[in-house]
Amino acid sequence: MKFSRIGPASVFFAFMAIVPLAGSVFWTMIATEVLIMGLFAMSFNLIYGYMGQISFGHAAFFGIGAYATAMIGRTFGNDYGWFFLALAMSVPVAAIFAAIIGFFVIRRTGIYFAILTMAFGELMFFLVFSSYSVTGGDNGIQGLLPPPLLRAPSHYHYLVLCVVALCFVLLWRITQSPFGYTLRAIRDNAKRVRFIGVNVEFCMWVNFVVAGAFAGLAGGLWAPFTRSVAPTLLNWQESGIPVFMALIGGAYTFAGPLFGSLIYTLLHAWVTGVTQYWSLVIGLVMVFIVFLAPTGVVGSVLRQWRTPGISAPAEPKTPTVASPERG
Amino acid sequence: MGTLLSVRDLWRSFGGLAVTQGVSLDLEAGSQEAIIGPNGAGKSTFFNLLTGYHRPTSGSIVFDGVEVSHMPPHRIVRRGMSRAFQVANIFVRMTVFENVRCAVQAHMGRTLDLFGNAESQGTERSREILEMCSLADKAETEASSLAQGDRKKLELALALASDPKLLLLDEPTAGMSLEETHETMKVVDGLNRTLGITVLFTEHDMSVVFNHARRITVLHRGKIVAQGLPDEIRNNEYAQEIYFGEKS
Repeated sequence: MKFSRIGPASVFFAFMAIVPLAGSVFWTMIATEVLIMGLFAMSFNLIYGYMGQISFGHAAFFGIGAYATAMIGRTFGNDYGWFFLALAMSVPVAAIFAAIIGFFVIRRTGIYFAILTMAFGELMFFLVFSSYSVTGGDNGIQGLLPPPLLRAPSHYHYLVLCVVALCFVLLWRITQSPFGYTLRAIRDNAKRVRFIGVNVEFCMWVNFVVAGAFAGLAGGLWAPFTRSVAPTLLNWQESGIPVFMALIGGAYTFAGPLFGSLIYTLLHAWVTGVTQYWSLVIGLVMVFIVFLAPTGVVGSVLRQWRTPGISAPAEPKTPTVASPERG
Repeated sequence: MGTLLSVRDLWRSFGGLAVTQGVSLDLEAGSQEAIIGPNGAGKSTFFNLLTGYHRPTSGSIVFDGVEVSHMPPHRIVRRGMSRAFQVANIFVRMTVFENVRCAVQAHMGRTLDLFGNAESQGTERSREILEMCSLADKAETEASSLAQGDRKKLELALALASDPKLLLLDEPTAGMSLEETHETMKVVDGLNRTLGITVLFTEHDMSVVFNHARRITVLHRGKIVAQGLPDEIRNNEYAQEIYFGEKS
């Protein structure tokens, strides 16, 4: 299937595979972060780029996944079996929460969807923050060690690389499936989709759960990576990160959010090393992107190279978020 | 042939305004009929009620032997009633082919297929439908860049994808050139005669109405004021007065 489409991604993953060979722990860990946050951003983009709704609460599922892995890890220790089980459990746990929250949020679109996701995200943040006996409250959970062979940053990096590459393929399949095209149709014109015989709310709900599950896995990878979890993983500032990444890379391209994560994470690492004004820098970057490259970096590059609109969802003529369903 | 659609005493109010007031209508399977009426007569609301987009305040809609008045739109479509909209209502950021394929896959029940390849399902049928609606040469065009007439054809193609028994067309030729109008109505006639699809359409263009409908229902202020063969309607004084605004 059209290698040219997945070529750049192959180069990306090949590059990620050789980063640890340079021997720098710092850069290896940056690369791991790029991958995990890239998965998080791609899961977010199922909702934004493909379904046309913007979520400001997606970090809830990232955080829930991280806590699921952390709490199982804390309870059962870190031998290999328990570690991988703890990691895997981030998926169903996040999916269950996404199923419950999704049941409510998909009933609204546009700005109301955005606000509802944010409200539920903050609700989950508060629950985690205040359930001191279960989650450790604002202290979070510390000392989460992966099993011995996965403790070296380079080893953990390769585990993350495998998981994220697998998810990349799965997400690609989903976006190319009949379901993926139905999502695009819902994004373009939800009202019309009902009249081709599709239960729009149910489709949106399924997608919300799928996106939550992938975000949960990203969180599950994150907890052992940083050896800790804290409630801030669920809050709305954290939810803003995949929004930025998707916009920087290009929400209307499949791999855009992944490249967005690369740019965002590298920029973050570099800027925070030289100045404390990170917010100022990312703010300027976002202004630049929205005005000069609204289709994101990948979107802009693709537009130079080929006609838009066949494989990846083409860029919208008007912002999707601002236009709740009519009629 | 039996009755495909049977509407009984249908009412719908928006706030204090009764837009549909006790409409009753029977549609024989295989017929091709038109609903006419001035702007605001309640034609689009009537279609919205039939297709489940609005719920009737009271009354019943029996389609193919089943009461559908309280079903959501997607379930009514699956039962075989589909509609094309007055203002082309298409998936603008997908190609023409992807538009139709999506609708065909929905009809095939593949909507929740997350891991299959969309490019290998329902493509034959999609091509067939595009061919039928004379859009085959525009298959790879992005829908947003279609001209108005082609948008309306795509609208029709989307409605056909669900293999309907009853096709509701809301001003199918609005915004089309004379030639396109002729072409489109030829397609509609073909659907009716060769495929046996029952057609109910609204139209402002009286030549289209009188040449293509075998029975005409006149709607005025939410009520049926006249019903009959084209010749009867043409000579119906009441219909002339309210519809053409003059007595002749």
